[in-house]
Amino acid sequence: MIETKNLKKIYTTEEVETTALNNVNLKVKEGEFIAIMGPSGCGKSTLLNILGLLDNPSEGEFFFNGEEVGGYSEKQRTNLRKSNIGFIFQSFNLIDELTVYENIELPLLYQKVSPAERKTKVKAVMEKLNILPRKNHFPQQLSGGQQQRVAVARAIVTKPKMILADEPTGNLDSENGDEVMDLLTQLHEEGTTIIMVTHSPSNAECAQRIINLFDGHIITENKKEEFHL
Amino acid sequence: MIKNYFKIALRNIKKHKGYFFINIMGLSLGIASCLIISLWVMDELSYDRYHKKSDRIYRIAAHSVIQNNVSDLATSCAPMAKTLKKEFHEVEEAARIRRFGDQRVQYEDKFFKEKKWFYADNEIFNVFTIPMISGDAKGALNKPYTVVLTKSIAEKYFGDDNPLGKSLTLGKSDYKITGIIEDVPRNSHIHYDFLASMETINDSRSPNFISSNYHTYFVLKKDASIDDFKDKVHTLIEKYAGPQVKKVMGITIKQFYESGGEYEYILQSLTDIHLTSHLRFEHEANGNITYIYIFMIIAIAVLLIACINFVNLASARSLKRAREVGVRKAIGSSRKDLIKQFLTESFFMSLIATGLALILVQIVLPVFNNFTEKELNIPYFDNIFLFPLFIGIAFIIGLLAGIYPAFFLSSFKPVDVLKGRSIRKPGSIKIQNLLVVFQFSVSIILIIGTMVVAKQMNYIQNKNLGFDRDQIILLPLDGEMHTNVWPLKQELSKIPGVLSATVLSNLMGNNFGDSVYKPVGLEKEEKKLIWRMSADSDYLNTYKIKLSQGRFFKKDTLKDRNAVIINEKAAESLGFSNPIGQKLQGGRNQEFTIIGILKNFHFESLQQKIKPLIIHPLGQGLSNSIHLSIRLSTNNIQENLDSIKKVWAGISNQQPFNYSFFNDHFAKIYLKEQKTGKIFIVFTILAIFIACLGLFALSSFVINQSTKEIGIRKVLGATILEIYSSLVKKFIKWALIANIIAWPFAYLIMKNWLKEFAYKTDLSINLFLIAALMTLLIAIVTVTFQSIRAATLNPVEAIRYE
Ligand SMILES: Nc1ncnc2c1ncn2[C@@H]1O[C@H](COP(=O)(O)OP(=O)(O)OP(=O)(O)O)[C@@H](O)[C@H]1O
Ligand SMILES: [Mg+2]
Repeated sequence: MIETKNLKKIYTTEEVETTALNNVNLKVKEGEFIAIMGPSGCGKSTLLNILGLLDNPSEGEFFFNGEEVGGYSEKQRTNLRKSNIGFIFQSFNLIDELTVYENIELPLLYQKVSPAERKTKVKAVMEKLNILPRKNHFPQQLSGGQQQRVAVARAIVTKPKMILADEPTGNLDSENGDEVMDLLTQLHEEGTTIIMVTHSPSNAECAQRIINLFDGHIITENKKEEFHL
Repeated sequence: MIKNYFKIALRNIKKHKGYFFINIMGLSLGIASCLIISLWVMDELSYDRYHKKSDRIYRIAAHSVIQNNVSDLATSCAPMAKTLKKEFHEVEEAARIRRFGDQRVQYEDKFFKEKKWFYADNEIFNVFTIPMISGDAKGALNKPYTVVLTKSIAEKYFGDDNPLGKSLTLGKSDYKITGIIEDVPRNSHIHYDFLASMETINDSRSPNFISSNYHTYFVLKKDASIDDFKDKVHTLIEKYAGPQVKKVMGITIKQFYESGGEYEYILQSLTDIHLTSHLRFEHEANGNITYIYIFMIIAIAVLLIACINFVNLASARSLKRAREVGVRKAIGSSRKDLIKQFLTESFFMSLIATGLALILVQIVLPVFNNFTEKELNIPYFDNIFLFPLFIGIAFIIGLLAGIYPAFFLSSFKPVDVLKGRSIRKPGSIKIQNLLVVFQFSVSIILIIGTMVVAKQMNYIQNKNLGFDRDQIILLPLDGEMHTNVWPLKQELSKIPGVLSATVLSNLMGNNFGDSVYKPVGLEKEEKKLIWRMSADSDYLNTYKIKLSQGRFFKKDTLKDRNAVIINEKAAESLGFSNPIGQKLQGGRNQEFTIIGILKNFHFESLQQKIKPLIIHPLGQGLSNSIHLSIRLSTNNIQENLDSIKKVWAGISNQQPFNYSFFNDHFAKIYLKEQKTGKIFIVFTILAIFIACLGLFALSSFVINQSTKEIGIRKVLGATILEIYSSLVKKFIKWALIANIIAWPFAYLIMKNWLKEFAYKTDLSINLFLIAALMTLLIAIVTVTFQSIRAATLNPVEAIRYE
């Protein structure tokens, strides 16, 4: 589904030039569950953002469903993103002015889904994530775990082929964190491709494959089995 | 999707009430001011356009320079109308109008003092559009001693009765009523209540081409060009005026021109008269095109300021909105969607603001109309395009105000903002700075303008006119009282509270006539044009005018029958080295001796420079309009007025007692100017207020951005004094730059405005310094206020802010 060849990302500011990613070669097959690990500042978020089409690479090739998208314009990336990718962030990033229901509905609005269909889809996903009773609450009225469940609901309501999660459990206690991991595992079992950045080895365990980044390089790629050894 | 945008907009409004209150209030104040000014401007531009032929109607006026005396008259000579028609085939029709003010008009036992009695040629019906309600529209004024009345005058005299065929008495003559016409629209440069037949006046048949007593209007044929006609019309001077000039002045027209004399006709388009014509003998005080420009500039400035506020305030919230932008983009919103969203929001706000503005206008208009004596309104029901127009305006304002924030906000990169990294683009702050400086500059120009206008108004009010206008009451005297004026004056003088009383022909501030006088015995006996009035011996002490040389008239003016008093200006113009005792030759070769010279005083309005003036003694043979002026002592005014009324009742034979204070008469002369000045001040203060709102918002923007920083510093135990002082410095710098930019503009604009006045205040540097001080104060106050807010904020909240 995804393939990168010699992916490079260089940030240039006034004083320094940071090479956040260097020659990253990665292949992700459809339905895979991948965890990305590594020390702080090694380029995990940068990689995820490029994979999620939020950002362009500086060099190298990036194939999405066999198509080279590295040089796509913002508009093209938006179009590709909105029908294929869902995001989950460490800091939830819900819109404060919208209710739980409206937050979840938002991606469907951008996809121009009909109102009736929107209603059934949002309802279904809320039921699945057990947040139906809170549908008229605003984000500030929810606990962290609840907010992250809403964020997950928003990411999956469009049934994207791929979900990208950047430290989804980073702001949660272990109980709520486990809950989110269960959700991701369940989605994976339903066939969704998942790429997740995490600092927690136990969370990474849920994935089929772990990619270790160091200073912008992939240093190891472990299959789950190997990791256990 | 739109619904979602509106929902967000509404919830944002609810959540940040203060912010939206400022934003919408500023915008609706701006739109309301702009609307009111537009209505005013449109009304001013609509004058005299109600005539069907308005684009082809012209008035012929005259410009002359005779012995260095410039004279611009709105009137022309008696034979002009007929001559125009006879000489030029391109003149379709021409008609004259002449006003006879202050007439006593009687019907049976009812009588009123009438100020708007005019004589007109019957052809006036073919020139102006005068809708006739009843009567003969073709020939209502063909015969002498006929008159047509406006509807409201007809009601005033006849109630529900039919006035046609009845007669009104004016003086000793009866005028037969031959028609009823509609009242003259308010937006007309002339307002007549009565139009009597010009045939009545003997002088109207005079062939005199030199004296100018008639307002002459003509209609140009459809295919004729006014420019060509302008070139032709001057042939009249040589052909008709030439021979008469030779007779009167003893020189040919050519010699007259060679001696520096000027004479030419001015053709004024009817629709331009109200705004551009300020000649002698205008029917009414006209408006001023300069004000139209100034007010249009203010309207645009106010709206622009309000829009800039909107931009600044939207940017002020950009930090808060940045995350929303990031999330929406990550979820699948395109930049176009976001631009649409933010434009929808600003459109929504400007729609609310426009709605509020319309309500505001509706509330304020009655007051405004009352003040300006206009009848402005928004004709919602007459014009079906009005409603869409307002929506269109709201849309444009929304676009104007929302376009920059929309592009600015939607340009945030999700990767950046979701991380909470600084979203400030290097260029964005520069635009903010520019807007603040602009905001400051406009405020400074307006502040200086306001101060200059106020100063000039004050100057006129307090200017030493050369006579004392306090404590003087005026009693107008019409024909019937002429015979009783001397007994009346004598009786009044016996009242202890009456310090003195005088009878005079022309009241200061009104129009004065002029005559030609020749200084006798000088080497160069050149005729001079001198403004003229007559007064009795008490004129000087009643008005407390200062004598410079010689003496004033004796009590028995008959003894001074051939004596005259002149003012210093006339003494200068005549050229005598010692004028006292010298002789002047007037019309009909009459000789007068100069017995006294008065210090110059402002006998005309302050718009005019002081002219040469001659005063003849007012004796038994009275001129046709006279006034009685009475100086009262300062105490017991009411009591004295009662005594005066009693005396009046005993002598006047049931004439109504209508007195007025000279000061009110004086104020009326400057009323228009004063009112326009006050409107200007109100709107500029409003504009300054809106601009301050904007600066307030902007300082909040800058401080908001550092709220987190302030919070962290506070946690670390630091004071915010450093941050505060750096902010103050920044704002002061902007204010200073703005002053440098604004001063030249303010100087040029106000210099130009003051040009209208013959006597004016100076544009002192102090005004500019005060404006600078005020802007600095505004800057410091806003920054301080916002800083205190930020400083007193709980640091925990500040850190959580984002
Ligand atoms: N917009 C940017 N401009 C400049 N440098 C950047 C930018 N974004 C990231 N970097 C740099 O790129 C490198 C990789 O950053 P990245 O956010 O991908 O790290 P990370 O692995 O996600 O770290 P963490 O685990 O702390 O989230 C860092 O050195 C960072 O300073
Ligand atoms: Mg990261």
